[in-house]
Amino acid sequence: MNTPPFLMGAALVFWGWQSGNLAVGALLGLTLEGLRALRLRVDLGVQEHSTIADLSTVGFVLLAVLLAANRGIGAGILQAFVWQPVALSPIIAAQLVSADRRLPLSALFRYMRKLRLRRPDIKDPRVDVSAVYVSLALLAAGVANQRGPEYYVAVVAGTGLLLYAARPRGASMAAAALLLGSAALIGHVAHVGLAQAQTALFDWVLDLNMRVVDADPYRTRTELGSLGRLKKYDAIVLRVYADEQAAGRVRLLHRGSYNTYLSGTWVARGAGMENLESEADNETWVLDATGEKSAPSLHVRMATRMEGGRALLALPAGTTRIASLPATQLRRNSLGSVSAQLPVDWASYEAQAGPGIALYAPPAAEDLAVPIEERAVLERVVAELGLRGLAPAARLRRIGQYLGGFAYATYRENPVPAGETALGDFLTRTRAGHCEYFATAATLLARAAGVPARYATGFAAIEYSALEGAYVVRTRHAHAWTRAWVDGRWLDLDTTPASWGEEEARDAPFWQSLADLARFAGFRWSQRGEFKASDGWYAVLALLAAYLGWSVLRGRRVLREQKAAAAQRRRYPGEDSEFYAVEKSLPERGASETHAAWLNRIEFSLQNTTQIHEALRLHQRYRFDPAGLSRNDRNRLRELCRGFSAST
Amino acid sequence: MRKFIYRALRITGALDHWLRERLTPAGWLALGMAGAAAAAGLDTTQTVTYRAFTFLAVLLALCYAVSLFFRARLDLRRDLPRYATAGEPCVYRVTVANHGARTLEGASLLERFRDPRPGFEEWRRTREPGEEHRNWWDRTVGYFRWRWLIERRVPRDAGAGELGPLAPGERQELRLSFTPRRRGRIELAGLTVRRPDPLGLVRGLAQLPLAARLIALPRRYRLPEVALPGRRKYQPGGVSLAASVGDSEEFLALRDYRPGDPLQRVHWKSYARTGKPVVKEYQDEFFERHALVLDTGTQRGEDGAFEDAVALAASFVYTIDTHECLLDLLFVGPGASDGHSERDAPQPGVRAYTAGRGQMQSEHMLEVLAAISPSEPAAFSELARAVVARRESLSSVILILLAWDGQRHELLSALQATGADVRTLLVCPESDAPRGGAPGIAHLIPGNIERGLAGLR
Repeated sequence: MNTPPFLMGAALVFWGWQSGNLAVGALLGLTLEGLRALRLRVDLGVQEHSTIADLSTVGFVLLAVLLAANRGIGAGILQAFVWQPVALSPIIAAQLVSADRRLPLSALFRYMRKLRLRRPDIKDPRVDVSAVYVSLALLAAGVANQRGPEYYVAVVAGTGLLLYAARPRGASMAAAALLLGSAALIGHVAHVGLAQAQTALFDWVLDLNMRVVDADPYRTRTELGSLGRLKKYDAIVLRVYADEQAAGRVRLLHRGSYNTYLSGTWVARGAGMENLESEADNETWVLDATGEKSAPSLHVRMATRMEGGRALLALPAGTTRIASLPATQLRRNSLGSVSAQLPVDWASYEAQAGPGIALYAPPAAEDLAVPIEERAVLERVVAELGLRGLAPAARLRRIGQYLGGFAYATYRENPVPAGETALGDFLTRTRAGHCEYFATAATLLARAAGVPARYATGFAAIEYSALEGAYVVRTRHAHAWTRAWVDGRWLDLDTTPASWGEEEARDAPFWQSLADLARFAGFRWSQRGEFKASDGWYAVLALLAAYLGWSVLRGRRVLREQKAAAAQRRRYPGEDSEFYAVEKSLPERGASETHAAWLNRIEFSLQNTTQIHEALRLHQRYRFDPAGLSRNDRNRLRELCRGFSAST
Repeated sequence: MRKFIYRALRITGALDHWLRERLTPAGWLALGMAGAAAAAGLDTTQTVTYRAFTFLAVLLALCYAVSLFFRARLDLRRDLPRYATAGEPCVYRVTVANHGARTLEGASLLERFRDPRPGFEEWRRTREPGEEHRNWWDRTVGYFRWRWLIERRVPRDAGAGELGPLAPGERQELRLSFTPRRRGRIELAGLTVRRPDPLGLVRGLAQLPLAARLIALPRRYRLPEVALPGRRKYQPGGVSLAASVGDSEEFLALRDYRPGDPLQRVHWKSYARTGKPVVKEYQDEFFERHALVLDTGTQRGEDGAFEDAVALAASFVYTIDTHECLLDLLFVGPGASDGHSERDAPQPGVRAYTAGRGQMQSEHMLEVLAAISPSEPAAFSELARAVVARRESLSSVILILLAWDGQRHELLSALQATGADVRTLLVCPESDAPRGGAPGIAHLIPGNIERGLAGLR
């Protein structure tokens, strides 16, 4: 397919505009259009085209590898795709200056070249790849992700021009325009719909699977009353580098607290997120200035997975400072949730905690509220346990003992009976459930007994990995517990049977250890520094490219356009034989005279008759033997002819 | 599992054929770019190439819908030769008449071959030449075998012929051509008239049935001047009996019955007249008779060596002048099997065909060679016995062998012992050739036969 004049240049300028490299795009476009306008041609063969294509491909792959190493595989490959028009420009430049403005198909496919060595009968058509190049430039412009309408307009216009250049014989222009216009219109509606559908799908998937990972500090919906097995995932979302002494304090890592229960959902009412200013080093964040006065009793380094550059940080109770976290933004609420923004896959930070949980908001009316629909059941249990007559700490202990008699279960077979709540059913009938049941029940029982309490969520660091030398926290280690106000401070109360971790670990797939190895490798890879090349390296690269270009083009004949086209038409095997030059230097051969007869005729005037006869034999084999000449014979022919030319 | 793979290959093959038939080069570019745009735009928030994808996908869909409205009312006549030659272009003429009400413009004509996809059993049982060298995955999936089975049935370079504007009632002639990849039968299903949509992305097709078949003869090599010895041999029964059919007609005289004369030769009228048995005596016939013995015993299937051996046999059949001599072609069949109808194939055994002096013509013998297929290597002894049995009548023997072993050596010695002139050509890769060469044997390397033939005298 041919491209109309200036389309290639326009596509490259558009690419430059969209990718923020307008100068590069304009320069490249001008160069290629200039080469197209140029009447000079370079005599490039299959070998030269192949070398240029191979070098361009290698350069492109190297660029992709470098970008993937620096920016992550997905982002790196996309970024390399943006630079594709530049990386592949030598191929199209070689096509534009070659004699027939085409290149052999085998130059683009190494496999085809290998196949042709075995089977020379395979055809190697000469193709024009300019339309492919224009399409790739337009595609690369789209990868740059400028969200304006200009991209779609450019794609429609570019396609229209390409198709106009290759329009079929006798096709109706009106029908073609109608088709193109309809496609542009329907395509526009389709792409808007597609984007909306994908956004909805992503939201749904996130809501379904990643809710635990990317938690909401304002609300958390529980699975109370849900039928079937609770979904569990093994992906590692947090790594905690704590020693044995600190293990007890990092067992529960808090992410969010909620004060209001609304039929299955816990909400953080009156606890808006506020921005936090960092210290001067931009890496230290003080959560509690009063706690700063005494030295922190716990230092623990952690690494958390970021989802779309955001994460609700998991922190041990009583965290007063977060250090070594170069976040672009840190926000927190009065219930102890801290969210960070950092455009990386894994963010590591150090949590420093004081002896107690002092900074969280003191109890309010919400922390004692019991929902009306649960009140009857809770009152009955409170009365059964005789909680009202006990001291607050003793009330919590009694609640713990009471729930300790319940069983841990992630599977629920029967629906909640009509007229009952999931929590009531848990307390009076099933007496089995997962952590959300236990945490909700303990929180509401404490409240019914007059102890202010909140529902807390986060992770439990219960799996130590010898491979990583750290506690690894998986998605299935997401946990819920109660935070109760006793004697003027908040205490964490975990009433879920301690066996829950072991029970869940039993469900781990048999390939988990192998998968963990890959996860560890991926994590270590994400922690590497960015590769940066100095100017010196770029200079070396430029010199290398210049040398390669020179070595490819060295000695190639430069022809005028008409001569080049004529030369192209005259291609036949052995046309580059040096014998022709020898022939020209000798008395003329008759029109119908064979070479042998001609040599016999002029033999008397020659000195090296044996050599010229040998050269003729080799020349004729070079011209007509299907097997061609061996390397040695080819060199011998060259040598004989040069020797002969020199002697005459 | 194999059924599943077979179905997957069949569906992929059909899809590939459909796309090749429908899409123009511009259509391929649009499809490729739509695919690339979809891959790059999987996440619609990361890139905007999904917009290019929707546009190109809708464009292709619209063009496909438009292409479905293409109709052509044409009358076609194809003037096909009876034979083609493997590896040589076969050019023929097609006459097209427009019976429609509108002028047909921008259309092209393409030959359509019978569905070449092999059946499940054939795909499962067949082994592609050199398949044992492929890796486990390729052998299990059998994709290369599938492709090989298809390619051997479909000629290559079957280009489309461009039709000029054809007004209603007008007639036009154009030339089409294809090149058979191998010897054997080629089945043509009909012709397809194609015209691209106004944007030139998708072709509209009108498939017109016009079934025909032709035979692709084996490819032939140019043989050097081979001087076959001209010693004439007594042929009992004359020309006709030499071909094992009918009676000799060269009547010489009547004579008295001698014990041992066959009953068919009794002249009953004279017997009745004279009262004693009288028999007819015929002219003894002496002429040259050559045997071309083709060794088909191989377990490598129709590989390069086998095909070259057949091509070599075809070259001899084509070159030897059978006006003044007889030429016997002997080989072990399963015989005429074209891969389509294994049920109809004759039972294995030695086949003998004779050409010359009013018997088969060399074209018919080439036709036999076009349909030849490999036999069990063990059956060579049968062939050797058949050749030795007729040694007395043979002036010379041309042996084309695929391997060199004790059996073949014995046959050569037995033939040489009778004084017959024996030319032995061994077609096998260099690695399988006897070490240090065997005396009196010309070794030809597959793929490089011409070079070997040049040294033959």
